[in-house]
Amino acid sequence: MSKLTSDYLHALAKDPKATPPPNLDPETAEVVQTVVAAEKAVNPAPETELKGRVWRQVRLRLQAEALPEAEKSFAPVSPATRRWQLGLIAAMVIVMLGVAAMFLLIAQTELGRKVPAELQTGVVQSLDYELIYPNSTLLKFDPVKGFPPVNPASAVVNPKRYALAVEANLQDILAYYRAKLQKDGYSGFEDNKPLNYYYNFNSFEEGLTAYKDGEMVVITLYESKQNMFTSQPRLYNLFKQLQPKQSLILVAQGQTPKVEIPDLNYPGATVFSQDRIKKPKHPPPFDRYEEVTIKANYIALSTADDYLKVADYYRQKFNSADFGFPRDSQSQIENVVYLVAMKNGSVATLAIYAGSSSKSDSNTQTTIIITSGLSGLYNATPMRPMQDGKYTSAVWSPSGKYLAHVLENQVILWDSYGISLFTTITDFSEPITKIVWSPDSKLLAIAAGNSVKIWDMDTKTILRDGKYPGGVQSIAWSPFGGSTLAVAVENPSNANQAAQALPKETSLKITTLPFLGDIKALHWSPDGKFLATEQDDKVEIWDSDTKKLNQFPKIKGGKNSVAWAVMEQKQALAVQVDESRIQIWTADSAGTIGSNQAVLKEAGIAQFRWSPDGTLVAIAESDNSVSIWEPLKFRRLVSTKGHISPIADMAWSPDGESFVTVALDRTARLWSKDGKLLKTLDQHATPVLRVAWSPDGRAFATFDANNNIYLWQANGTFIIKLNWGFSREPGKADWSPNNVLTLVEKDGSITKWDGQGRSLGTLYW
Amino acid sequence: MDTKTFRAEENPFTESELLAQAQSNPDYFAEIYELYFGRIYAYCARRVGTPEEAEDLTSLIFTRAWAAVAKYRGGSVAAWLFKIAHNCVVNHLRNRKSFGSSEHLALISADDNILAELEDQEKRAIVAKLIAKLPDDQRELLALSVAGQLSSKEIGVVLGKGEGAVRMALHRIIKGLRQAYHRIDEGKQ
Repeated sequence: MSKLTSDYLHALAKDPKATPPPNLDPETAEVVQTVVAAEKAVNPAPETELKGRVWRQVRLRLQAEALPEAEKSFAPVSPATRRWQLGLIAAMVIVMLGVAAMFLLIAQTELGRKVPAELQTGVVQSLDYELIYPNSTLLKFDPVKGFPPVNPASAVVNPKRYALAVEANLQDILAYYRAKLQKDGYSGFEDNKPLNYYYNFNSFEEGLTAYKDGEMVVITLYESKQNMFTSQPRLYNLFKQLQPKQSLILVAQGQTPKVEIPDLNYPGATVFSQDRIKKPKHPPPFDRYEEVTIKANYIALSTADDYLKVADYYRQKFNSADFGFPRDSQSQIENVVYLVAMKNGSVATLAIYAGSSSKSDSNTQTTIIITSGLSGLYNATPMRPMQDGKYTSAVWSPSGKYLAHVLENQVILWDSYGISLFTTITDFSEPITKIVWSPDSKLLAIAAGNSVKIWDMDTKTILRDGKYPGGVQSIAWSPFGGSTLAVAVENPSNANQAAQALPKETSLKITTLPFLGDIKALHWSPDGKFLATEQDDKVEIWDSDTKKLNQFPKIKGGKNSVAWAVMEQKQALAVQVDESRIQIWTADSAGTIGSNQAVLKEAGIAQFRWSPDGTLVAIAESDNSVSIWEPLKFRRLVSTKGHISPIADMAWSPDGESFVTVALDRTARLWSKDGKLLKTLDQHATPVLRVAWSPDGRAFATFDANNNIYLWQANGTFIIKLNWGFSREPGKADWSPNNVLTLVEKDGSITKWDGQGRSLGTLYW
Repeated sequence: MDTKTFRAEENPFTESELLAQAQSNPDYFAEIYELYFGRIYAYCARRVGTPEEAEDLTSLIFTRAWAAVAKYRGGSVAAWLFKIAHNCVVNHLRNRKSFGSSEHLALISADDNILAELEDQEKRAIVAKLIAKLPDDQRELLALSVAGQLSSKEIGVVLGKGEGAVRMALHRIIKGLRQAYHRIDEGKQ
């Protein structure tokens, strides 16, 4: 009987429709059914983001817990098959390589080594305001770069910052500073737990913030040993200086930043008594925004109004104050709206519950719990701009599988699910100016100062490290023809020497171009047979053996004034020559250069765009009109007016059926390819600066001067307004090949949305 | 009990081969994670009550499992993984300071009024309350069976008991619940 009961229980656990064994009495079967149903009813269905989030936590835990057991010891297990045995041998080789890499890493990071005392600069005597922990030593550090990206210390205005090392435990240090600051008249103490709760499982990070007369002090503490392997590359140089058993103290002191939050009281609402106000606990992913680190304020209100009406009231309130909503969602199961509003780092998170939290208050229909202040995501430190290209600091591989993220002098690699690949390419002594993926996504070329390094994704090593004494101006992979990387160098006399420094390999060809002058950009033809070099006032065309084929003048300072297309099976290069002419150079597949160099003439050309199939060119003109040309026939098909201010950007839809123009008149306009105005999108409150279509053509994003990103369906139907509030550079957001809108922030975080504006989470480094 | 993975067309390995491969290549551990995430999370959620704790425990369990991959010596992957899970959950419950009613449990009881409207659901609600009153080892057994979807043999490996003992224990739980339910039902009538 026990077998029948347990078998049926197991069967039902796997399949709710399983039928009871014939010998099991019906009453027992019914109880088993009820038990299984009751057990299953308790289990909440995991939310969709949960799986990825937990996986990240697993990876971070492993990393934080230093060397994982799996990598420390390798014990062979009994093989099940021959194939397995072969796999084992391969696995052992991989593990040995892994161990070797680990030793290299250890050697490099000086883990476990006693750090020479001379790296520490000695006991500090005095500073303006004495916040030196007794018997601590001051460490060498760069006050701009040396702070963790997500920390209230980053928000301190005009801060004095210093780093200390001392042999003491974190709680003692914290207690010391708390007492000292209290004695000196500081108040409003807040604990600084790490924002990213993945790190929260160990108390190796602590901190506090305190305020006094418009000033603030932020103390951040780390236990170094635990942190050597965590993702805090900015602190690497500090951890390196620590003696064993020493803790790290970071002190930042300066003015408190301004927090802009509108009045959040709801008309006619009752404020809960202070003792009933507690910080709301939002479910993930909203909990990210709860981390209000500066001047945190909590309000709890109750009102007789319906909760949806209340939510609308707050939406309008924040909208009129020009806040954006990175999160806005309604749970119908629990009848609650979670709303996150942000502007320039100021954040308010609202949980609007249907129903009362108090049984005694029968008038309450809705409870509103609000947290507001300056977001922990805020960072006052500007990011270093990249030299060229709109892909400023994060570049997706063409396969959409990897994201390379430039953060200061290093490149951090992520996979498409937002999981860190635990690969950070460092060793750059100078700022990284450009990163480019090879067309097959296997190689990443990184230009920094006078070197170009080529990273191999398979072996996770630097495949080539080319030094160019004069400096590197630009790099570009050829789209075809093996893997050829073109490198524009500053000093041609060293070019040959530089080329020789890179051993020749059939699969990897590096072409250095022998010429003088400042190269703004390199443009390969779509077939990879020609390379156009763009300088400020001219464009030169080269074949793949670096033989110069042609040269055009180019309008000085022109924007997007050089572009290739495939036109009637020919490689066609369009160059804006001056304010009224676009010249088109063609070559066929055999490399024969076309005899007719087409010229398109318009009165005042602002910029132009090829249609995806190369049959049309859209030209934005200085009188704010748009004309469509058929370049093959030198003829203008249509000229049309709409915008009342200059056009800032335009983009064809991937299917070439329509295009979008955005302008300083605060509108975006959707046109058909024959120049018919399909829709005027006038939701933006400030000039619109950029437009980008998702690669699948189902949506496009428009970026305005106030950091807002608006998402639209291909037919111009409004989807959502996204606002992240920090970045003043619309170029920092772009679509991935997999249609993920990716925004790189100043604090080094990367936020992703899908084509419907649903958040896909934020990556923190 | 070595089942082929549901992604057999992509991955020809059995689960234990996957785990063995994971000793050298983390990608294979990702496959194990993919296969077991739902069951491990459901088991944790059933045992600890709040989604936050369940999430935290799930990540801890997979971290421990990953770190212990080299110690895997063949046999049922489910049993191996749930043994780690069981230990993590037991430790967690032991260390947890208070067992105060969580929001999640409050939600269930709030639903009771609605459940009462239908007989079946009422039955389920009563049984759920009876389960909640069971001793911890019996609730663990049910969680491993239903949320964890383990067989009696696998549960035996996890708990260090024989398969027969597990079957008998499950049978007794069902029998006990059946009697307790009857008492309540008769009391009502």
